[in-house]
Amino acid sequence: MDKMIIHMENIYKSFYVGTPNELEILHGLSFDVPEGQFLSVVGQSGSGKSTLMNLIGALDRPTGGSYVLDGLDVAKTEDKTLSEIRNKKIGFVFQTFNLISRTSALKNVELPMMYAGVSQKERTERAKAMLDMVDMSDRLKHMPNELSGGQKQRVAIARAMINNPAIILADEPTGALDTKTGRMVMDLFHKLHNEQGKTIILITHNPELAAETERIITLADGYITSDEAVVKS
Amino acid sequence: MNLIENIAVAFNGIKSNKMRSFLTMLGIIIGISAVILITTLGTMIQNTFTGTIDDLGVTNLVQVMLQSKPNSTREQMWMNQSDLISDTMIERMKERFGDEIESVWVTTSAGRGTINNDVNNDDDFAVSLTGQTTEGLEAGLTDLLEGRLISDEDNAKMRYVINIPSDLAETMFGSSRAALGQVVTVNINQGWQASTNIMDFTVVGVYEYEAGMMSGLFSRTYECDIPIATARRLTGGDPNEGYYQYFNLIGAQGVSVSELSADIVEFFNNGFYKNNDAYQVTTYTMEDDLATINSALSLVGFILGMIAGVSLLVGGIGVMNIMLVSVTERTREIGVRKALGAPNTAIRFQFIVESVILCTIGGIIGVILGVILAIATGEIMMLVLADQLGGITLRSNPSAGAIAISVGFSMAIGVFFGYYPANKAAKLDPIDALRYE
Repeated sequence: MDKMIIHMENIYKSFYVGTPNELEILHGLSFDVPEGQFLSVVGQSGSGKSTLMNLIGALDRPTGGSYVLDGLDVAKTEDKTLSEIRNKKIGFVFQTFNLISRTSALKNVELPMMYAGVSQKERTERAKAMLDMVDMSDRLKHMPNELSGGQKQRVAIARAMINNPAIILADEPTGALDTKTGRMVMDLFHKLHNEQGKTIILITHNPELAAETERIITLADGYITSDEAVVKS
Repeated sequence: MNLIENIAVAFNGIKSNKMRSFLTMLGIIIGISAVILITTLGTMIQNTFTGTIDDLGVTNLVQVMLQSKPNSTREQMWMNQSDLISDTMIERMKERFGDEIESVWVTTSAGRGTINNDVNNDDDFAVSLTGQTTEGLEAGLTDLLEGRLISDEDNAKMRYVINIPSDLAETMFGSSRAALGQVVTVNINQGWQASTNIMDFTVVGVYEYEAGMMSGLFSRTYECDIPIATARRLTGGDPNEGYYQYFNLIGAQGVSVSELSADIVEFFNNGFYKNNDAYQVTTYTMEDDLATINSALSLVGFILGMIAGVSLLVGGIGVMNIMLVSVTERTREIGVRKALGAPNTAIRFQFIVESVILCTIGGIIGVILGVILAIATGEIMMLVLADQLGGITLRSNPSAGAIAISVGFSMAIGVFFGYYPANKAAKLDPIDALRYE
């Protein structure tokens, strides 16, 4: 049996808890993600997709239920431990890249290692190797505003990968890119998945991209309406 | 977390917002330079005061003087000769204290009057005549330029010889050297009742006139020295035994002046003055004087420093304001950093470092500016007040201590006023921060 990287059981998420405006967004979701799966979460705006992503990414805690990420119970930890989980277990890739401005590609990739307490020497070595893997080794000293969208996203993926996280959590990673560069980014994810066996969770509203993955979870109004494996033709 | 990394990030931020950073620093720059200027000028004035007194070599000077007893039983408080301190008592004191006393300096005023030069009899100069002993003159504050001091022999023979200051010699005879051997006529018209009012003295020595700090403010009275025995004879006293309301002594090197003066008070008051119904001896030292001057100057400096401190406070508030703006501007960056795993402490530390760097740069510029201003002000004061100062140099040394404290204090301002914005950044919710547009 495959090792489960994510175990979510009966997850609830409400906002304004205890006030008259209490609003329940997720109504008891349950699913497991085995190690090495490339999975996509799709759904319309307002389906609870972003809320689920925040929970998976340990940016927030569920109101109820249990969430175990790579053997760690995320549901009931304090802020400091959550930071550590985000640092070591999760690699974020955002739609708008979110590189730190006025900071070189190299330094951006080094950042998660800095928070992990890795020495400067090792940081530089590992960051260079990682940028080489995403084919950005000739842009080490470039600032984000000197890079194209596709280049920025490749730096962001390198940054997400640098602490060897349990999962890559990509939120609409191609949403701000044209078709061609979007294709390049998707190819990169496939490469990471196929060659390194990374667990990748792709949040998207694009059915074509979702169809490239191994499994699609569809959300609507805070419920999982379908969860099925993609049959490769 | 990495300090060097954070410092580099902070410098980056400052560089990318040069104008804004400079304007923010300006408050700190003005505050720190004001503090440096005020403390340096304050120390300069203080050093000049104490330095002047140190130069005169009189820090171990003790003045011994008579004072009326608080519960005197005598009906009339006039002083009799038997109340005064006599040469005999002073000799006994010297025997008792031996090496602790370097020298004793007694004087007798022979009154005030005018002096002129028989050769060209057109000007009278104000003069005060003081009877001196050789020991007193040698211990004293004057440097002989030409000729000789009043000697023991002059005293023994009650000669009419005189030591005059160099500026009087130059005015009357053209030079100090030319004054030697000249005869001057003195007319005593104030002070002790002189038995003879007008008499001639032969100039045997010229001493160097040193301007005091305030001497330019007053019209000059030339202080001339004559043998103490001659002075006693002029004032109708006993030529062989002197009687004094006060005398000075100089403690030996290394002797505590305050302990010595306490011992001397006890020596006189338990001995010669034990049974005196009206008078006792008290002492006064330059140390007391210095302490008073110093505490007054320190108080003034402290108040001015407080005023300068207010400008630092205003500067600090400016820093806090701009840090709050910076936190708001970089909300998204803070969100990203949190998503990448930055703990709250790292975010807080990053912004505090930035605030401290901003304040420290401001502080260093402020110190440099303050030192330049202080030196310039010192020079200008020397130029403008040259006459009043009479050749005294103002020593403007910005103290290393003040500089270190100022830079340290500006760093502290950075921490203090940076903490609130930094804490605000640290406590941002990562989801809200990531969504911030």
